[in-house]
Amino acid sequence: MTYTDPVFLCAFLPIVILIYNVLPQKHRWGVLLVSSYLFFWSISSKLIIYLLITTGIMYVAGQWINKVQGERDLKLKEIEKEHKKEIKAKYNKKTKSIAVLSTILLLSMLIVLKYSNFLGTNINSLFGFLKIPVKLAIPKFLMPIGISFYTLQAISYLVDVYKEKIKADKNLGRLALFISFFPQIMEGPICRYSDTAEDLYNGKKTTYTSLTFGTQRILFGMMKKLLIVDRINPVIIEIFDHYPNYDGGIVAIGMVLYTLQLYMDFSGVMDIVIGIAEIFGVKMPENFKQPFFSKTISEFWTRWHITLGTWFRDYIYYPVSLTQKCRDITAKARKKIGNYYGPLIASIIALFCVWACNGLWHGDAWSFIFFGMYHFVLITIERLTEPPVKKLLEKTKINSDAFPYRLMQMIRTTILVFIGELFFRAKGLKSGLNMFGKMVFNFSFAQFGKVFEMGIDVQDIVLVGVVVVAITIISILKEKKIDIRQSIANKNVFIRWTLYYLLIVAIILFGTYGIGIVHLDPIYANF
Amino acid sequence: MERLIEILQEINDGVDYETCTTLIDERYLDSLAIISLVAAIEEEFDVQIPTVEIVPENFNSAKALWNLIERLQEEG
Amino acid sequence: MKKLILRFIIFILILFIILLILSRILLPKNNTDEAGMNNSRAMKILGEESGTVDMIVYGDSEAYASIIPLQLWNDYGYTSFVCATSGQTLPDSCRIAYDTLKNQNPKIVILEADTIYLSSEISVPVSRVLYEILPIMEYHNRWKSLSLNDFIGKIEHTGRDSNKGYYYLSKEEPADDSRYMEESDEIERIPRLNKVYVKLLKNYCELKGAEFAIVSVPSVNNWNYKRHNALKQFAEEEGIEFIDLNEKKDEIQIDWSKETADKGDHVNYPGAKKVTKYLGEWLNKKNILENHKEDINYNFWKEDLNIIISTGNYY
Repeated sequence: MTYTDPVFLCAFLPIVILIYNVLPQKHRWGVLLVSSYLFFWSISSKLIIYLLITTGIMYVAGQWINKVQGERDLKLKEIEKEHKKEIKAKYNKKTKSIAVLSTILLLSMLIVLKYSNFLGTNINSLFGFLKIPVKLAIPKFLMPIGISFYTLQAISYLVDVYKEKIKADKNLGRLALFISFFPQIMEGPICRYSDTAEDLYNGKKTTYTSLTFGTQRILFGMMKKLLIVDRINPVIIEIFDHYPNYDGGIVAIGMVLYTLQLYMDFSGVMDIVIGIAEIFGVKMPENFKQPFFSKTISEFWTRWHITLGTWFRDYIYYPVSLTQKCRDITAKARKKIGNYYGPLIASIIALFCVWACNGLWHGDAWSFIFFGMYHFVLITIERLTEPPVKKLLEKTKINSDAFPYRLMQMIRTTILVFIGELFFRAKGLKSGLNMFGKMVFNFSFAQFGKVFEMGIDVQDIVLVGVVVVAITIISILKEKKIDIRQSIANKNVFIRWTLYYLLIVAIILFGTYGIGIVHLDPIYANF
Repeated sequence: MERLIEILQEINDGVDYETCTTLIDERYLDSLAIISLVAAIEEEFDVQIPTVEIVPENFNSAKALWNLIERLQEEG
Repeated sequence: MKKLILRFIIFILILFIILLILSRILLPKNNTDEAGMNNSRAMKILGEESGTVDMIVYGDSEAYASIIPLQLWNDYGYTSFVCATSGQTLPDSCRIAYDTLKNQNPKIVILEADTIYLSSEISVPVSRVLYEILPIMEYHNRWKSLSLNDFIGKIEHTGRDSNKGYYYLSKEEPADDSRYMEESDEIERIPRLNKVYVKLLKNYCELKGAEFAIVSVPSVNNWNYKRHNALKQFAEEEGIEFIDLNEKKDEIQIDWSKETADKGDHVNYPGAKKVTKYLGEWLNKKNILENHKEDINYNFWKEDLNIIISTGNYY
């Protein structure tokens, strides 16, 4: 079952919404929890045990940390001021070890399930290289759905409890629902406990506004998924599987189409997820914010898969760059090379950690690690060149806020993103490099016509074009901070309903579904 | 407070720090700027900003940042 | 609250009407591939004059490769049609039966047994019902090939198949039949939902005045004794006549070294002739079908036979 499955949208979801609203408020969280477990079971059946273990670890460790913190606070009240620091340190050491231990437990579950194949294979080839006659048996594990997403949520919960940003939850049900809520379990967004747990547990009644706004959002997401993703899939498969047969021009088309597909697939699912959550009165964090309008790569990553970016920022970037070691480096370097390049050293160290993790998080292959390092290098270059570029602009009196300059920046950033996604999709690092080489050394427009031999026709391309233009217009409006949904809601019934009908008919008429259609699995659900 | 605004202006001088309340949300301060800022504040005001305090609420305006510094100084 | 529900109902009603209008536009205007009709081999029966087909066969490729209606006509003057499609699952059989029994009243309906072991996802029957109500769901992809005729034209089913649904296979790829139909007491369970579909199909056929029977045509790859046992038991419980032509291998005597097109999956034309011959004798014994050979209203059957003979492929 996926979120665009008719069984999910036309049966499972309406039934859950109905039961949810019929039952009294205090039981509604239970409806959500039961349906979340049913949903999880329908995809991963017995592997739900991993989810339950994670929930258990969160609960026990959270309570434990809470208890130690409580003891500490009692002690602090009794004791005189000069000993306070000592006591604090003693107890904090204890809570820290609980947090670290439980995080290691959570992480090792993820690592064993997700990376044992990759690690095993690489260790074996290392042994082979060193001529050590040992061969590890590589175990093959089935991964429960969404483990890469919910593990991050669990870690953020425990770290936040340890850092006393939030209080550990005494209510096991609320915690279980926070980690398993069915719309987000497959592909995120990666929520923080403080974002959603309360709303989920509250069981707000579905209102006219939440239902219509939620439905709009779901329809919008379905349009992205059903009109674009599967339609262009045959071309992408053909180009990436048989790139040696084509020149750089075709490879470039494949690269652009894949980025389009990835965006439509992932942001489309996010629209559906956020729309569903809205119907249950839960406001989820946005995961995309018009990413292709970014002026720099670092800005791009604050607009694309936002919740992953902020997770890495809060739980890797800041903790690493603000360790005592890094603080010392920053303090010393500031005096020598100034207030820009000084802190940059610690920042680059932290960035390296972030991008190594980001690459690995996406999958257990060298091409993903390359993808991470690619963005690390790009961001580092951006950082290093920022002051000289600024000076240059001042000298040449180029207005960096003018539209042509910004447009140039956006196009440059987008092209760099395209190249990154080429490596992301390519089958292995080697083919990624080969494909990139083709684009550089063998680019021509001569083979463009071949696209029509790959399973799409002129009508398909026109349709994709129209949808892309429509979504671009909507994105520009959003960029200008125009609340489209509110302005639709303010129009009269005739216009509103016409819009709904157009959207629904477009999905039914132009959607890729039915006999003979092979659906692409949601890309991010596999990470 | 004046000294704080000077520090902020050294990092990014294109903002009116007296009124702006969206320093983080509008990306006037990015993650690198935060590190510079933390280092500068720690040196200037002799406080240590723990990572847990690094949240948008504390950095979105000069005022919030000033409150944070005062609080940390009190806790000492 | 009441007002809201009312609004919701009106919204859905208007949507339904819009979809009905679009369905009429997208529905293929003829029962041919060119017009965009799905399952067009089976749907060629819509081009037959109404009330002239006395026996209809539903099933998957096993059925259309094994049963030759023109041979039954030639030998006995029986009129039949094979409404089989490749990989036809039971929800599809039921749906095709619903569509084809509208203007034919056969005396007997035969379900080929292989389809009973094809499982289908739970979403299939739901979507098939939806397709019947709102054809736009099935034919939405025809937006690419719409013509003016789709908007103003009438629906006419003029596509005909002189072979009456039989699919001619001439290839020879020998099969290994050393373990074919080894006797066994074991049972291969029939998917539970499929039993429901068979009962549904049986009831519908009987409602339409047709006798219902299950026939398993010879196939080395797709049939075995475990399936035979299971189906025999099920047929007895439901009071359905079941003949297993695999079990009658000594009487039919398919030569698996020559008479299969694909290593024992389907019989080829010589094999199909033997299968049809046996089926003809069985039907003759049952004595429920009429011989239409002398009836001038059925002259088109003679013409169809001549067309096929003239292609030189067989007869």
